Amino acid sequence: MAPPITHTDRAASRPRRAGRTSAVQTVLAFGALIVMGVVFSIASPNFFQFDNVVGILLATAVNGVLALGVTFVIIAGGIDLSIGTVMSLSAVMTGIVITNWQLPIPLGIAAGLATGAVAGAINGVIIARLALPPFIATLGTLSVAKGLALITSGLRPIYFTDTPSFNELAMGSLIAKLHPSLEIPNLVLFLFGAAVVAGFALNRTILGRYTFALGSNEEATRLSGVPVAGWKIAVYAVSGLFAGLAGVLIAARLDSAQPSLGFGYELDAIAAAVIGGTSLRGGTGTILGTVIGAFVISILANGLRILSVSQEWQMVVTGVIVILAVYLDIVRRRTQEHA
Amino acid sequence: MKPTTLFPIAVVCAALATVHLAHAEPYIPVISKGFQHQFWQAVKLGAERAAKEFQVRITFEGPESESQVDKQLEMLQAALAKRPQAICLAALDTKAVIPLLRKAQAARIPVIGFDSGVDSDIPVATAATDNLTAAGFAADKLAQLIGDAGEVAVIVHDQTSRTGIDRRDGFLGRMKAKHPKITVVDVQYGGGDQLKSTDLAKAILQAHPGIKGMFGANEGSAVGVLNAVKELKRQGKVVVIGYDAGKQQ
Repeated sequence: MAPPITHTDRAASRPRRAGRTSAVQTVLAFGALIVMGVVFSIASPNFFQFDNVVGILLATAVNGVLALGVTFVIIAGGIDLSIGTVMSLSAVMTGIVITNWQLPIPLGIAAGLATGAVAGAINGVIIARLALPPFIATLGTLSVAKGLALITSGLRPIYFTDTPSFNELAMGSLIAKLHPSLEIPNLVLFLFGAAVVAGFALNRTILGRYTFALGSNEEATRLSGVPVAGWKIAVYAVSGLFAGLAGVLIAARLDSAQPSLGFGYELDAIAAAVIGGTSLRGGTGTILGTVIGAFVISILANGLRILSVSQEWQMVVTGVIVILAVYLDIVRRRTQEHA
Repeated sequence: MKPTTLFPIAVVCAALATVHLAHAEPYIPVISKGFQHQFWQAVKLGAERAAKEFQVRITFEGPESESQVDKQLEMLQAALAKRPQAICLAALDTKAVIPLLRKAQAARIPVIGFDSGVDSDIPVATAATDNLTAAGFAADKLAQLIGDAGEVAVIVHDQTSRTGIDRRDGFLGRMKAKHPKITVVDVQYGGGDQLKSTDLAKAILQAHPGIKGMFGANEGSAVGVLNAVKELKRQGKVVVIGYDAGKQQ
């Protein structure tokens, strides 16, 4: 075994800051995705067909957007359980503005995004100023959002039948216009666009810097004179904003705002972030990792369905894979740090 | 690390590759609205029995709640990718499934609707229940059993799903139209969860000691109502009508 290392030696030999990932780590994460794809392709000729791949992309979109937002919160050392129901509430708000009040679509979209951001900010205030633990605080707002979604929607789904261009926004295909044989719905573009924005925000803005700072060492950050409360609120608002976007997207995709849909979706989003390398202890995480994590989940679900694995067993397999994926990630990171 | 991780992967690949032998019998995915309720399990049993009789392979799946329209879409899309001989579908939201149904039509895969069916001309056949009429029938039956007058209450499973809305409205509409001497004192939503429905039903029974009948709009709700009546020892005094069949009833 290696000779005992003094504290200063260890610090000197670890120049990499928490939060930055090496190229090797990213390649390994991609590798897991590719292995899954290869395994399912071998197992079934129906897997790697254009329509099915597009289906996987579609299935990843909404969960991916949710996961992008919650990545910020988890890196900052918190958690946001309300993203699922905030998504429904945002979808309902969009529906109310567009269908019930018959206002133009952009206003509806703005309403959805604003609902998410405000809900997130409220989470932030409760956590930062009232000092409630994030788990409890967001559990509470989960319930509030759930109820509000039901109340404001009048207990029934809101349909967008009079405004077909809203559905077109998600399910129309800009790509097809450029390349007629590639019928890829715009929803996929929204996912990648959101990922680019999230990546930029996390890696190149002050918000991103402070997100990592809050997660690595909140006390040190506070003692450095950074207004921690304000930035915490901002981080939760970001999570809410992405939940709002997810709400708008799912409403556009389904051409309806379903007030009961969304409860439970926070778990898949958090799983995606964690599988992608975001540590629940805070301080570590990448947008690319989260996107990969989201794809791991949707490829797994799709692959199992294509193999006609019965639904009960799908649940068992998914749980086992999630545990394995997170474990492998932890091992990988541990070997990286000792390298 | 590398060789030890590659080996199990190779084994898994080989295993999966052998799993996919050519299937001589036709394959029909059955996509329902739900999965865990005994009602859907009964549907599944029926489908499996028929599958055996006609030498067909089926898979049975459904989302975990009737609001998960997107999950049902994903199931339908995966089913289509398997190029089945036919698809059976109980659509949660007709409009949402139409693009995929058109794909099925283009691929010459016949679609058969069941339960609430699909509100479009693409399915070649439908075996559905008209929830509105059936709930109305339940209302008539309940009215008949309690002497066409008195207080009743309803436990519905879902406020926002098509079946929940139709069954509630069918029951209430019929009561209002044909049985004016019956008052519906309360309508509560138990999410189809037996425990929740039991608690809700008990609350109603205790708040209205003179109540004569209750309607449970789906299996979970009906079981909940039965439990409540039993626990409050009102058997014989309260008539219970339920929708959907389950073993506990």
